[in-house]
Amino acid sequence: MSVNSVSVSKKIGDILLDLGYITLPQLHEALEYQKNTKGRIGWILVALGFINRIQLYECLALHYGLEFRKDTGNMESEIDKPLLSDIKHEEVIEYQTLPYRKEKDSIIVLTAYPNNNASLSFFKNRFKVNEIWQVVITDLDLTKITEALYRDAILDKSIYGLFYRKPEESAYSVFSKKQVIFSGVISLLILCWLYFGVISFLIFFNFIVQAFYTISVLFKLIVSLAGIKSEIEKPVTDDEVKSLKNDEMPVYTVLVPAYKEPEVIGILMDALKKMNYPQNKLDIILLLEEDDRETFEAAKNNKPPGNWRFLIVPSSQPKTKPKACNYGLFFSRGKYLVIYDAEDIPEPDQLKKAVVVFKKGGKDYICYQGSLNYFNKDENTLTKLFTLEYSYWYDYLLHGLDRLKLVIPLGGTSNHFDAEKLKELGGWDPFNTTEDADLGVRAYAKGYRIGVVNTTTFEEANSRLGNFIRQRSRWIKGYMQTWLVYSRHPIKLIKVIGFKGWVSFNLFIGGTPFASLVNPITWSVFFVWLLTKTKLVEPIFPPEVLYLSLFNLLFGNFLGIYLNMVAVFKRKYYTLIPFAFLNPFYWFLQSIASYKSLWQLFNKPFYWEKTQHGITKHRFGNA
Amino acid sequence: MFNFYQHSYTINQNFYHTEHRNKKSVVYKVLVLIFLIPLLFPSFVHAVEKVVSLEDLGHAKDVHLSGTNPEFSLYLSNYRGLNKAKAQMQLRLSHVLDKKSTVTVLVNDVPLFTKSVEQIGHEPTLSFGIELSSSDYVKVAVRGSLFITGDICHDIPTGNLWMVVSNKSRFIMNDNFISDNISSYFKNYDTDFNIVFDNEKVSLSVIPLVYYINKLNDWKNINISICNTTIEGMRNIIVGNYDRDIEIRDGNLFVSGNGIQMLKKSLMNLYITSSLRNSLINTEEANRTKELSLANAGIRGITMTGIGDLSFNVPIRYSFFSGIPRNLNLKLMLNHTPIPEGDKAFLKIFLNGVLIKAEQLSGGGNITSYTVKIPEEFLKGYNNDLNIVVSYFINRGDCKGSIPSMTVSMLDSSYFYYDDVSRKKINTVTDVMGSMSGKVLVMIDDHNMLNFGIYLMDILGRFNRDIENIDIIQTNYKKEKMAGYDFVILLANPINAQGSNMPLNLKQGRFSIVNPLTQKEVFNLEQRKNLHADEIISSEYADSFGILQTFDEGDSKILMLSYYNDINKLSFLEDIKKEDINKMLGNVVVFNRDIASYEIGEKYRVIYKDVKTLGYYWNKFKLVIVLVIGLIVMAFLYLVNKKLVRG
Repeated sequence: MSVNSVSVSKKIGDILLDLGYITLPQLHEALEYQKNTKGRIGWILVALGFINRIQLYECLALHYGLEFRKDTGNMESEIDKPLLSDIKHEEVIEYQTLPYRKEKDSIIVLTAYPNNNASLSFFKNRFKVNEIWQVVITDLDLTKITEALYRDAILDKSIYGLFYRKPEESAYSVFSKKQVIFSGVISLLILCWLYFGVISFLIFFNFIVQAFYTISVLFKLIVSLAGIKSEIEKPVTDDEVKSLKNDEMPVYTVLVPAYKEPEVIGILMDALKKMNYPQNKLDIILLLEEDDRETFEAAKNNKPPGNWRFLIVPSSQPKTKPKACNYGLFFSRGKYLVIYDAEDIPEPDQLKKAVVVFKKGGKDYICYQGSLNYFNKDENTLTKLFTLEYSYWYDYLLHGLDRLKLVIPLGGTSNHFDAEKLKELGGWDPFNTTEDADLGVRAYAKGYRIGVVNTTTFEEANSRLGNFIRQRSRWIKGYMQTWLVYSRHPIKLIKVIGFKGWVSFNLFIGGTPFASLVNPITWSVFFVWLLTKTKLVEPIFPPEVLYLSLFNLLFGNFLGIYLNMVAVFKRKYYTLIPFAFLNPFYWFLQSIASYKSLWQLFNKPFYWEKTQHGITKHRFGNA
Repeated sequence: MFNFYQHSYTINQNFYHTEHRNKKSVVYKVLVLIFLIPLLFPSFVHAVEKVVSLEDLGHAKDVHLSGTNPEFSLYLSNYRGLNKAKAQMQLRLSHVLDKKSTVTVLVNDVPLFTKSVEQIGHEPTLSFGIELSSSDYVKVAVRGSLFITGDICHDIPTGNLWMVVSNKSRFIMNDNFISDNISSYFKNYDTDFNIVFDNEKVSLSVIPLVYYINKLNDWKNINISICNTTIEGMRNIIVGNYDRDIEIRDGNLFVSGNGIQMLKKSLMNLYITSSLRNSLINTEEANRTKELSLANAGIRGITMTGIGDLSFNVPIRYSFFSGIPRNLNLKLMLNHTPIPEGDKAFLKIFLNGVLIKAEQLSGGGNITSYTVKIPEEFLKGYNNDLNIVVSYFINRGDCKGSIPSMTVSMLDSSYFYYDDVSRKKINTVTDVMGSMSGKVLVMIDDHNMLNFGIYLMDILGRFNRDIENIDIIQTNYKKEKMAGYDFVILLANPINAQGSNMPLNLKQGRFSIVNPLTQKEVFNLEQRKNLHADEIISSEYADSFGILQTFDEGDSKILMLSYYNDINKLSFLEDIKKEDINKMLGNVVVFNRDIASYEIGEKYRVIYKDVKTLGYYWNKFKLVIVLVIGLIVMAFLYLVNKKLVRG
């Protein structure tokens, strides 16, 4: 093998000292740091902020006796484009190396990972050459050039990757042909039934609705009881976190998709700087949209450390968070990967807890969901109700689902993935507006498990009604999409996830929008009857249905209110307890959102209703 | 002022061991307070023998008494015309009594005679003359002294110490018919009244007349007929437009509209004159308070002596309060003789047979008050029975020889107190008729209903005599006119019936009544033959019938009399007896030749056959509707398939 790698000269630290980029105390500090983390000294110096990327790569080039270039524009134009047809962008990213020029028996490559044997071997085989000449460039330049060269391919894969691979698992097709035919047949049968016996049909429909409510109530009760049981078990203890050795920590990718959020991007950046995790092992990627200069500027002004990366996602439709995440996934380097929203404030030891829980959990686990809660819970009634809901959802419901080994619909952030398995699943569905819930179901359907980890990320609760409706309509639309996607082959799904899993999938993913849609109808019937004493509805309430609906009305609503009370009690948010009684109003808001979702499902199925963040006057710490 | 119609029961039961089923020893008293009015100008005097049975005096059944010393007593009004009276008391005595057991008859508390069972047998009829006194009434009592072995500790628990007074027992009065003034026209032993309308267009104010006549004869049952002419041998009341408000003339009573108003109050307010013109009577309602003493409820204080259970019955009628009182309590004032050491006494209070309070008595000799909470959940119907029992137990060693006894008095200063009154829960026609009191309005919209209104008032008068004031207006259904009235009696032509809360809206035409749980029709005008036998009250229903129904309008409780198709079917009201009212256990009562009651709303639903409901339009247009929906669905699915299905 012949490469242009020359004998390794001085050590990196010495070169940097010679160049005057660092001082000796800085070198000693970095070496001390290295003793604990076993990282590469160059990256430690970058993470500590003593040098920048260019200085590091310049030094690396000197260290290996290679040429160093930083004229990105020229390099991009000089690259021999036909060479790119022989290498995929995933391979470029994996080996951190790009083909530049090829001559008869040799090739010149641009690399951010010089003298990597695997990389050199790969290029020799792929381009059938004996000699490889390396030119060192920074990783950011490599990313930039790769983005520019493979822009369309990466973008296409980010958007349609899942659809190309598994079209039946993508929400790109909102309905399948079979679903449309099935709906047509069912509609025909219903119309016939209406014609021949409208009352019996209405009784049947009413019964189905009431039975659904009853089953949901009982299911909720069972899951909550399981959640309460798991309350006493902590998946990760503080001692386990303390026992982690920094040198054993894997690289952790943090994806931060942000769009038009200049006000809040700093909140997360500050929180990430305070993360209790070796900074040199953090692969933080800020995913910004091409047309969002203000967030980019705000992020830059927050002075991110050298090991953070900015990825500019090209403008294209659908403009969704999962598309950005897929884009970022291509460039991720971590063994584990987590997503945070721009306004998130994760607990400092969250990543370590995730590492512990992954170690403990075994190979079946693809993801661990952290709890979400709100730092501005006391802002107004809406934020209080939101907190009540989230406290129950993340502190009881998800734990119960985990304990019962059922489908867990992932939350939008703080979901910690095994990156390898995530890539194997094909990332997120960019056409699904609750890509997280969809991913949870897809993972479950593949036999993977999703667990919960006892750590909390604090977010900003929606404090404005319009904003709430927008956000909630997006979530509910996503649930509708997910239910439609995984109901295309129900028998197959039952075979894969089992009957129990299928029931929980229907109750959670299908049941949530269904209940929100039906709630206003059932409440209206109840109130009209209560106020007018009308006998009009009596025929559709035979005794069996009447008792069932009475049970739902009394016990179902009681349970909904009571469980929320228990959840906030656990978190010691005692002032929120009385607000649990306002839950029916909160459900009413959800119903408004659900009708909006239904409209959008047919009208604008992939439209991403943006949630405006940064509108709260509360700050974390005041919570 | 006492209400004259109140009957108070005295139950004197001498038991040693307490067993509720054995304690029905009853002494009956009817108290009628009458003022003797000087006979100034006797103009018409007839000596007539009149018979009044216990049944006429309101005893629907025989009077069953038990214990060692059971006593039955009653008070007979001593009207001015009464010059001679005798009694025939039919008794039945337990066959296991010792032959030395005795029966004593007392008149005005003075023993008339005592006879042993050996002398009179076990089913005697005791005939005796009654010595008249100058008092307003004559008290007649029958007292037993019953034993089997002479050891009361053995005899009482057997339950065989009993005596029955038949309700066929009777009093034969020799009455000089004196009708020289208005008051005396009603104060006699006559039971038959005849109302004559002097002209065709009679004032509406006659409607409550029959009610007032019943009320004035509160101690006995009377018969009222309405005829075109006077009937000899009956008390004729001729109603017309006269100069004088009320006048005795030719042995008959002539009454004008204004005169009827005078009968609103009791006979105490009537006059010793034979004629009145331009008279005024104060019909202002007494101020309502949230307290009601037993005396004001017409219940007299009672004193009893004996051992075992000494019990008092206090009726609680909703009409005392003009509705159902909320948070009702009784402040019971009792006094009893001191309880000797070793003996025990208890106070037990039962409401409709349910024990609601019990406590041990101690001390004695002074008036003591006890607060009794009357639980609303145990009140039923308009008439409830509060049974106050004082049980006195002696030592076993006292069973023979000189037997100690307890004397206990219930004072009529005892009083009920409550928070407020509701009429919403009074639903059945029976309860509404039984509860009617306070301010009552008769609203009539059709003069043809007049006669039937009078029948209704007669029925009401026989059943409930607590109404003090009845106003009358002729108008269509008007809510604002009802304001301020506790009860409204609506005599309505079905065309004008329009109460929004009416359980049965007769304006809607044909109807059936169905059980919503079984979807079976329990009343159907057209398909009577298909009905299940136990779900129909009578198969006699024709296409016309009368209807009584109750509902709420604001704070007023409405009793509406109307009819379906033919107004003449209301004439069945004439045949309705006092007991029939107890069958009206629904908020809708349909009658023709029989009575059927329905609980509309709570239990049954009304379906109007001629009303074009949603169902009517659905059935008419369902094909079009289904086709239109079908087309829309298909078009929608086509668009979905075109736009939202990929791959």
